[in-house]
Parts: sequence; C-alpha cells; structure tokens
Amino acid sequence: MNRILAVAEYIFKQSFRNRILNVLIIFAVFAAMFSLAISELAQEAEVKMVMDFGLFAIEIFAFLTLVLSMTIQIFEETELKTLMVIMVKPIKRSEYLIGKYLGVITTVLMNLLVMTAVVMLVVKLKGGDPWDIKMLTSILYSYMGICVLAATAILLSTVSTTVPSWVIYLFFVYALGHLTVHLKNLVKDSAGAALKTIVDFIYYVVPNLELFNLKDKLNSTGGIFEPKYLLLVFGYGILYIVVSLAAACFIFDEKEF
Amino acid sequence: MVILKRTALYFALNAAFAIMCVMNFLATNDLKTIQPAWYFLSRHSYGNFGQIAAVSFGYRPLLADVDYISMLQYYGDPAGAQDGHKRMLGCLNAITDAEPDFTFAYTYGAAILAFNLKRYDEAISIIQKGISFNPSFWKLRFYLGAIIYSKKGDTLKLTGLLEEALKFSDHPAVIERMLGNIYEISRTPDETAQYWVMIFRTTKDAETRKYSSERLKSIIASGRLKYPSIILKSL
Repeated sequence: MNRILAVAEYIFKQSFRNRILNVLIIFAVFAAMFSLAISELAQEAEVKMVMDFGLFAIEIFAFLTLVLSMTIQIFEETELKTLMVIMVKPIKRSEYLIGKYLGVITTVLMNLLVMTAVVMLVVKLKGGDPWDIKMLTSILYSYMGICVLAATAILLSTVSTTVPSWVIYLFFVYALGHLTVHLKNLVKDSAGAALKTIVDFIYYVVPNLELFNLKDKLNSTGGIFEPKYLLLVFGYGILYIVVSLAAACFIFDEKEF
Repeated sequence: MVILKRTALYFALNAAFAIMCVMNFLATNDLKTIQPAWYFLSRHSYGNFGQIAAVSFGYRPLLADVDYISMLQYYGDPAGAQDGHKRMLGCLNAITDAEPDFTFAYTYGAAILAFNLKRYDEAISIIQKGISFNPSFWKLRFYLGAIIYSKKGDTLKLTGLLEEALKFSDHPAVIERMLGNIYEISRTPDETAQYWVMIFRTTKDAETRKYSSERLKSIIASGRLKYPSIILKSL
C-alpha cells in the first residue's frame, strides 16, 4: 500500500511540476468566471446560465486535465524511458499502475475542487444558492465519470503504442460513452441483428458516461436525483474502475519492454 | 499455484464484468423510466446537428442557454421589431427543443408573445408545449389561464391571475410591467404609484426598475396624485 501511495504522490507532484497543467488550471478558473460575463446577457435567467456554464467548464476542464496529465506520464514513460527506471525498483507492475491511477485522479480532483469553489462563488454573486444539492451532486457524479474514464485511459495506455493513438482512443471513448444510451434507443426498432449486436457490445464495454451526466437534468421535474438511481450508478462506476484496472494490470504484467 | 491464481482472477473478473453489465442495464432502465421520451435521440427528434452534438456530449442546457441569449438579442434588436418579431416562436421552439424542461423560457416567451406582441395563439402553443413536457409544473397552466383571459379581454380575471403570478419568485418581469399598465387604466393614480414603488424596490430586472421609475416620474409630473407626500416618503 505504501508503494502505491508513493507512486501516486510522485505522479501528483509530477503533474503539478508541469507548467502546462498549471496554465490549464488558470484557464479553467477563468472559464468559470467567464460565466459571469455570459450571465450578463441572460436577462432573468442569470443563475441558471452561471450554473450551466460552470458545470460545463468543470467537466470539460476535468477531462482535459486527465488527458494532459496522462499524456505527460505516457510521454515520459515511453519516450524518455522513465518506466525502465521504475521497473528495476522493488515495486510490482500492478502497484505502479494503481498508484498512477490514484495520482491522476487526485490531480483531477484538485483542479475540480478549485473550479467548484469558483463556480460556487459566482453562483453566490448572482444571488443563487451555492450549496444547491443538485448542483453539488452533479459535480460529484461528473468527477465519478472522470474517474471511470481515467480507469479506461489507464487500460488504453497499456494497449496503445503511441501517445497520439492513445489520445484519439480516449476522445473516441468520451464521445461514445455519452452516446451509448442513445444508440441503443435508436437501434431498438431496427431489424438488423448485426447492428444490434455491435451496439450492444459498445453499450456493455464502453463506459456508459451518460449515467453520470446529471448536469443536463438540473431542471428536470423527474426523480433523477433519487438515492436508488444514484447508488446504482455509483456501484456501476466502482465496478467499472475495478474491472478496467484489473484488466490493465493483467495486460501490463504480460507486457515485454 | 500461479495457474490457479490466474484462473481465479479470470473468473472473478468475469463475474465483476457480468455484475457491472447488469448494473448498467438497470441504471439505464431507471433513466428511461425517470426521463421523458424526448430525452433519448430518435429518428424523429432533434432536427439539427447542434442539438445532436449537444446531446452526444451531455451539454443540452448550454445549447438552450445560447439559444436563449440569441432570442433576447433578436427581441431587443430594432431590426427584429420592423418585421414584428416574426421569428420569435421559432426562437422559443429552438430553446425548448434543446432543453424541454427550461420552464422559464416557456413563461417568459409566452408572456412576451401574448402581452407585448399580442400574438395569443403562438403564446398558447408555446405554453401548451411546456405543459406537455412538464405536466407537473402547474405554473404553466396558471400562465395559460392569464393568456386566455387577456385574449378574451377579461381584464378583471386577468388582473387577478397576474397579481397571483407576482407572488411566485420566478415570475418573468414582463408580468410586473403588464400589471402596472393595467393598473394605470383601472386604478387610482395613488394606488398605481404605490405599485410602481413596490416594483422599483423588489424587481430583479434592471429594465423593469428603470421602467417603474419612469412611470413614477410621469405620474408625479402629471399632478394627479391625491397624497403625493405618501408616495414621496415611501421612495
């Protein structure tokens, strides 16, 4: 456990040592504050607009932080060969991967907390409730979705050979993850069995990120924020992370360098 | 021993994957039960690429917000006034197609269409669309009543409904101006002036605050107030 935490700490510090990531965090804070300017245009719907734009900025910058911090890690491991130095140390490959995962999601969490504080401040300035339970729940589930995506990213990093291919795969998973529910709905009445099988495969293998997307249901009069649904999605998220990381560890153990 | 360990791991992974699939299925089913039919993409919904892209990445409200700002700019643009804001209903439909539970867009849009542009049928159609997507949001039925009374010219019943509407914290500011204009015809200058003072103090809309101040100045300047000192004191 100590070895895993040591790797996580190293990855976390390494991410913040990198200037590009810091610039991204500054941009993220500015984006959240930019919602103040946007809301000036939104006569009588300022609070809604500040929340919508803030939640959008939080998720998109959390995703970009994940992509950037992992790109830096993978680049250093493969191009600068830092992985070789780590492999000769008394640490299991699986411990390294799990530590890396924890380091990355802690980096994203730091960014997310800073942005959440800014969004709450902006909402307060606009006369809204900064402790709105729906808003905070949707931020929590956005983070959960990013954690699931990070586990997928770790798995993809073990199978992809270059950094650009890994980035392309991840963007593809992000878009497809939001679409799986809709794709399943679209092919529901389709006669093509092959198409249905392909969509089913995508639906079960790709992370279903739409389940974590509560930010576009803040005004919903339905019971999307009910504990039963939230617990089910939380359980799904945890299981997806466990399965992805276990598969990643399995592949990484077999990999020859 | 290693083979045994690996086999156990393999089976554990498969079991976890199976449970995960079941949970995914159950959560999606919950989503389908909770969310209305419009939530999911279908062959008949979402007429433009912007909406499909917004749905794909889960940013539907952001698209509705952009459409809302466009609608406000169109409504405030003098060029739009020249053609009587013909595209107003189209703008409102674009907003509510992107986010059908943006309830303020229905009340705000319908109030503008009915009370400012006097296009009652369009106002009724947008309110009815709101009711069909948000059946439990009872305020829409209330606004529908006000629009129908306004269409029929039943000022008494309309005034009663608008006074009730003022009690909701999320009423559109156009209601405040509309009620004030009715008071100017049906009530004494003192009562009307007191109403404008109240609106000046409580409205959240800067434009309405400016409008109420102008109306107050106009009433005071006309010299029709019986007790001007009361109004001036309350200012």
